[in-house]
Amino acid sequence: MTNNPGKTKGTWAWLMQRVTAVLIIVFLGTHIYLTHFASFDIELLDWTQVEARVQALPILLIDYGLLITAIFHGLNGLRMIAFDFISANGKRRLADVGFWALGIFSVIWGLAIFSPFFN
Amino acid sequence: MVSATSKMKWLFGKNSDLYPLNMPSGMLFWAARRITGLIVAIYIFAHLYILSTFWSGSNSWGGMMNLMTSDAFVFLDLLLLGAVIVHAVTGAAVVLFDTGVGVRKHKMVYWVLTVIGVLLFIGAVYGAYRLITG
Repeated sequence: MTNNPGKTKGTWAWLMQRVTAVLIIVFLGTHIYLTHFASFDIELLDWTQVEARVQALPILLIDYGLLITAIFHGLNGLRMIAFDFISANGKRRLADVGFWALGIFSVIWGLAIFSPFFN
Repeated sequence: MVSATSKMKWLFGKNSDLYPLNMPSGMLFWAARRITGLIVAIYIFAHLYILSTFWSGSNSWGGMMNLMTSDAFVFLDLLLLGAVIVHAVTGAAVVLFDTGVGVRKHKMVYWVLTVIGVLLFIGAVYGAYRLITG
């Protein structure tokens, strides 16, 4: 770790990437199955169907779980790629701030997306 | 002067190390995971953007869904699902090896995962075929 003299060794990033990977297989598998395969006769996920799905708590929890794990996994992966090109510690910390800001923004965006169904 | 074409040939041609079939299996899985990871990471934001149509009401959503269920977008979804499957299958190898499973039989693990990925993609093609034909 000669090029990473800062406090962080990336252990948490490494571990959480694996943990979220396994969770995403479960969440995304369920999400894709429910959205695209469970009902072939329904080609159009119209407003009322989306409403019914969103208001079913298990489905909502799976979607929110997927939102959080996927955004973490995606941005952590992009961070890993970025760090293959950025080696200076200061620039890496700056990139971390950017990734966290984008991540928090995206999760809030995603959590708010179903708000029209809860009015 | 080396031309751009011959440079590309040197980098990615049949005799190069970066030609997919010349890569060691782990490197091939790594490269495939990285490319599909980039695609899927970018897609997450496209997904959020499209779902934000909810905020414009049911009519806008209906119009968006008409577009999203068109044949062209179903085909794009199939390509996306292909990228997700490649990413999941190659990532499964990482999780397995990091937890100590199959490290000494890595070639067999790669082949089993490849077969699982191909079977999943055949299912995806069937799904897309059903949606496009009707």
